[in-house]
Amino acid sequence: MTASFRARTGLSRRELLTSVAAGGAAFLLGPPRARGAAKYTRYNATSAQGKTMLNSYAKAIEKMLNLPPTHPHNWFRNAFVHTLDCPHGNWWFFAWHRGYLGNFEQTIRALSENQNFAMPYWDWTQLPEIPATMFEGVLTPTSAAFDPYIKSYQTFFDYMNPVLTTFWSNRTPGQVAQLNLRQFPTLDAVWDQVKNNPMYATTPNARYLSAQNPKLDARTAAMCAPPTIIDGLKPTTFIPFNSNRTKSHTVPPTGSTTFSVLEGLPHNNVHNNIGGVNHVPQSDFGYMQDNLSPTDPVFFLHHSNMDRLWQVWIRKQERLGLPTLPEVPADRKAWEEDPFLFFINAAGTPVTAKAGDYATIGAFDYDYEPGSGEEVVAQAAPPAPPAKTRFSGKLRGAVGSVSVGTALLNQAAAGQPGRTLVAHVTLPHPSGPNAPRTFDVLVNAPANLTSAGPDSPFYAGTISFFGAMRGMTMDTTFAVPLTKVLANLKSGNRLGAGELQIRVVPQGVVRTGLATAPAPPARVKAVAVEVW
Amino acid sequence: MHLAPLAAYVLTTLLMQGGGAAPPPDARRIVLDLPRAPAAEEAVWLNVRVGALWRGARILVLTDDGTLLGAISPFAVVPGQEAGTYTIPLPESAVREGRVAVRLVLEGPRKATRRPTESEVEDVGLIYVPIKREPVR
Repeated sequence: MTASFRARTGLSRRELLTSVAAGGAAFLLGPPRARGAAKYTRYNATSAQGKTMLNSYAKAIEKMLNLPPTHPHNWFRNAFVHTLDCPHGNWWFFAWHRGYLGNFEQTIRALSENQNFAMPYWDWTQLPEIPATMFEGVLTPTSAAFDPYIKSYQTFFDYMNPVLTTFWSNRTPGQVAQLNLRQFPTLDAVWDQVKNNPMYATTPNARYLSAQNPKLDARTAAMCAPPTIIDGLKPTTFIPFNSNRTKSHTVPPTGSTTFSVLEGLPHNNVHNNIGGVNHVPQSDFGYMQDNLSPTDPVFFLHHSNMDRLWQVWIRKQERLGLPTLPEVPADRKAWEEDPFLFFINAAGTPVTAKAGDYATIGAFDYDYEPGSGEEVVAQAAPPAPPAKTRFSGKLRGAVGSVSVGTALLNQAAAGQPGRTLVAHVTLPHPSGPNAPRTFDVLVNAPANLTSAGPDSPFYAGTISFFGAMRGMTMDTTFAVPLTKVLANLKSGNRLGAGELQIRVVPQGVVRTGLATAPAPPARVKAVAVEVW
Repeated sequence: MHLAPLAAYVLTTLLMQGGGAAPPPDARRIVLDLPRAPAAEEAVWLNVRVGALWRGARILVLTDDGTLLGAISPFAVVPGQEAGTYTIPLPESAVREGRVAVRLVLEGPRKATRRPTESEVEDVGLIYVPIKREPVR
């Protein structure tokens, strides 16, 4: 094994070969990391490419520090987006920070004039100390470049308050409502927390860890170590991988909000350790220990790593054929629809988005150089082939009853790989020019339902004979995939207990002399279900 | 790997694998009975509900032999309000004869480490977490 190989893949060669042997063709066809297709790569901050990115990052930070506070890309205005809007202790934590970091990354790309810029990540599992480069120049908030703005609280207040006052006067109704939920009814309430919480720190105290003392303390390092990270990636459902649901992403944590492992342990401890919590008196805390934390440039490397871990979990779930979002439709809708109203894009204009916009990386178009935790994707073995792959049905008229079992049915409804159910419907060839030639296939439909189209939760598909083909008498078998209809049935709690009722319904009417009449029932010869 | 990260990793490993110092004698010990045995694809983890702490305080969750299970360091909490409920993964070895025993201590800068009060740790409970066990190779 070479160190560089492990650094790139998170696996030893032996582990990789073991995974290939166990994972079989699926592994070979789809590598354990979804890389190569994205336009941008977020590198480990300690790699050569990562250090190049940090140079670009520093160049952009310098520009942002020099922009007037009236400019939306001013460094501290960007930090206040987090102060006013960030979620913690709820299930929007990962999505909101993906949106915040993604927009910020595009801004840095523009300001640094590095067209390939992507935010490096700090893999604190691999390196439980702040990367050395992050103590250079403007990459630390203790730099002299920050001093003109934060050398005293009054300096900071005088610098930022006019523009925040203007912002406050021009808030949208949606922003006002969210800030009220956040217990920020007035701008004074915001400043009170900045000053007395405290969120603000003077330049020398802006970051507790230093080039001479860069290491995370032992407790924090333990919370970043492989056992905790691997455990944090283990849950197979949206919650408890995520923190729990609250009324809105902007609601501060309370006693009843439950932090997930990754948010509550490595995320919180890294923030607080860099900010000096547990090491210095309250008045000396640095920026990272509270909601003005994006003042410290290391914030974005920390959250790049958190986002990377979210993506590792998503890829593990996908490999196992498990959900990556809330499974109950109403819950999923509530998660997706929560509005994020404070982001600023690379053009300097406000972004109105919803959480669902960040369920995937999407238009941000980045991927990650593999890092710690990556092994859970390779170890997520696809399901073994089912014991039985064909189930014959019992016919009663045009309805075939096929018993496939509850477990397989639920796996198929969840879209698990290797568990795709396909109905095989055998019909005689149409016997004459007026005979029905097109049929809808319905699943678990009520007996009195005589027709149903693609909008119906019972609709599986339409099968159709092409051409009259007079004289042809053979039976024909059509294959109809059931994944979508099963997902619809599951959403509506109509999946049943392992038995599928597959009904074939002729479309339209037939001519009988000069009159028309409803099409006669389909003459179904056989119904079966296969597992693909 | 550089020497410094290696040293940190060794320390971390010691802490996570039972090499930690014994918890202070005044740690708050809690024993929880499992309501039922976990299913094949469930893990038993801990939920710790934390009340209002002074700024800079941290709750440590330890085994009887001093192994660190979790360090709860509240972040972004409104001062004076409850700090939230924290999920702590437990190793399978933490469950013995249908019970889980943990010790809680409160530490903070320039203050003696001590047992947390009932208002500082309001509740501790067990949860069943759906997981996928690694296949046997």
